Amino acid sequence: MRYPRPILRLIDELGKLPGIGPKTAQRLAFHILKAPRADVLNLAETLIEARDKIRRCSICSNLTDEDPCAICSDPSRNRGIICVVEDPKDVMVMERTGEYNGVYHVLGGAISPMEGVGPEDLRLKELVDRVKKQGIEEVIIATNPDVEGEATAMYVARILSPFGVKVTRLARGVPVGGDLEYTDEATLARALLGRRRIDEQ
Amino acid sequence: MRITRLLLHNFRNYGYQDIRLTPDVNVFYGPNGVGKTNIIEAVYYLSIGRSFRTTRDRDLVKWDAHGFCIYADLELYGKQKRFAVNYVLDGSKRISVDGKRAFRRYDGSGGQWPSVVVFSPQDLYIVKGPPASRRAFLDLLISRASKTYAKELWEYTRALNQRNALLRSQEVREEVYAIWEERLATTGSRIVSERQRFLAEISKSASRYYETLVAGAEELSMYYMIAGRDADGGLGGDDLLTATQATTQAALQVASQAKTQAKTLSRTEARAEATDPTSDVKTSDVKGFLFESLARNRAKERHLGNTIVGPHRDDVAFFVDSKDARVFGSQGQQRTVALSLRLAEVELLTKTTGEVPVLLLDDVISELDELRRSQLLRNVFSGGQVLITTTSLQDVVLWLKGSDESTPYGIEVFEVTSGAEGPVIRSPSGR
Repeated sequence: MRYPRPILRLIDELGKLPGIGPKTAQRLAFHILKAPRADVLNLAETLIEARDKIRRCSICSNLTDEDPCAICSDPSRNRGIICVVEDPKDVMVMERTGEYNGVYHVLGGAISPMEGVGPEDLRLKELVDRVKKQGIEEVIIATNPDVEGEATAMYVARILSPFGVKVTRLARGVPVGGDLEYTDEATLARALLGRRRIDEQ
Repeated sequence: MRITRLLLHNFRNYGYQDIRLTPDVNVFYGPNGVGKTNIIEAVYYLSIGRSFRTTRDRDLVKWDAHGFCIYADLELYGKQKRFAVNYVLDGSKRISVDGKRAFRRYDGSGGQWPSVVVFSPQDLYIVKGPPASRRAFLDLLISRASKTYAKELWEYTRALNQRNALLRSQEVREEVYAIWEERLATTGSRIVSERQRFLAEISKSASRYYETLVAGAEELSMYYMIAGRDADGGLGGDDLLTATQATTQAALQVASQAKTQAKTLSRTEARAEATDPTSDVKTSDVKGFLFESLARNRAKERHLGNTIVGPHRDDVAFFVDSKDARVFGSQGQQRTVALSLRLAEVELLTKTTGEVPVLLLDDVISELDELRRSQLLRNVFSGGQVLITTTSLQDVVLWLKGSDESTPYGIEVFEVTSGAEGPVIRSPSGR
């Protein structure tokens, strides 16, 4: 026996979500069918609302419900410093530090030929335009420290070099509050390479 | 390091096997195919985290079981430890030390980890096989002695795959290639310099061992060959036959350069230089060479869809006197070169870990002549524990006893036969 068409469609649609396999999709579908109508309606409306109201900020490409986004329109922010990150989740991570008062630029990924992602698939033109137009004093590249993130960082540095703007990269090293004994050798080796004079801190 | 007890559960053809080892020499003898090498394989797996015979862990599971366990009680840095590996067919692997889970990549064996060196008939391919087998030997050796090397290698491979994907795409822009080529040149040159450093290190001891093994009749030297610079790493690539002539000539050139250089130096310096002619090549030179070659070969490589220069194409040349042992060496010479490399590996690991590794001799004794056998014995038993497999007990016992009037070490003999429930292991002393 097969499921009635509406159930099949529901399972199908849920199965398209990341991390959801056929079994989970089925479980979610039956959960939805069992739930009160009001809850299901609420879920459906929330989905539509989020989809309709959330856009990309026209300046920094971060996800936002108003354009420009809360960070780009905040007058207390230093607009002379741009922190370049791979995706919107990274903005949240940086914000949680409470240490950064500049603005952001979300690239939307990292260059990876294996996945068919080239420079034109990232929001690089927009970054160049920003650097050209406004008086930017520093661009901090905060892409991930993996192979793709490093290559992307290098590419960004390259295309910004004609504009004479200061380009920096996040430092790598020993985690705060960590014990040297438990730091992995590769990280420690990098930290050693990037050591600084004690009076620079 | 010494293993006092080894316990196998559903490993290869063993259902359940408890083996109590002596701290000195353990001989496992029996006919072919009963499961002698499986014991050595288990010890190797415990130390390295993979087999030397297969890359698939599932092959190690007994045919009717869902997973395997290896337990070993051992003495490491003067302390008693119990190591355990637990593999389940769904792919999960658990390594624990004294009941506590240990996380570790297969490579970082320095520190408090059991170390072993295996001597097997397949070692011949380090010399005779394609360049990839020599790179694999060197890479595993360095990964075990240097903790950052494996990561460097991984990063290099990742960047290489990215550039290869780029070569196969429509992309032609200089600046897009440059970012990957810069990464390849940076990590690549570091890999090359590590390989050169370690090769120089083992080259000295391997040459010394070779000389003893052949009683001074021949001389072994080895050179790191950078693809596209020292050798024809171009279209020939991993195909030794097509690259042979060019490689041999290039290697001879490297060797003769080294000799000319050596002449101009004082005697002690000369000796050091001759063993490593590339020691004067700095990382930055290699980086420059790689960066420049990658850019230069781009058009050709786009056609091939592959990167043809870099440490993933490099090779090591072994010379016995002035003959390239990879191609022109006799079977016996190639075997002796491999043996010397393994002995050098033992020396290097002893130095870097501060413990004598357990030696695993898999059926190698019967392949050697009288002279090499007695020389091997003298060099192998520097106080470490040894596990030997053989089909001929006579060979081994004669070999062990004949070398010295009074054997300074204990020998335990285990007879391995096949039973209905898998191998049966018996020892005269009832261990």
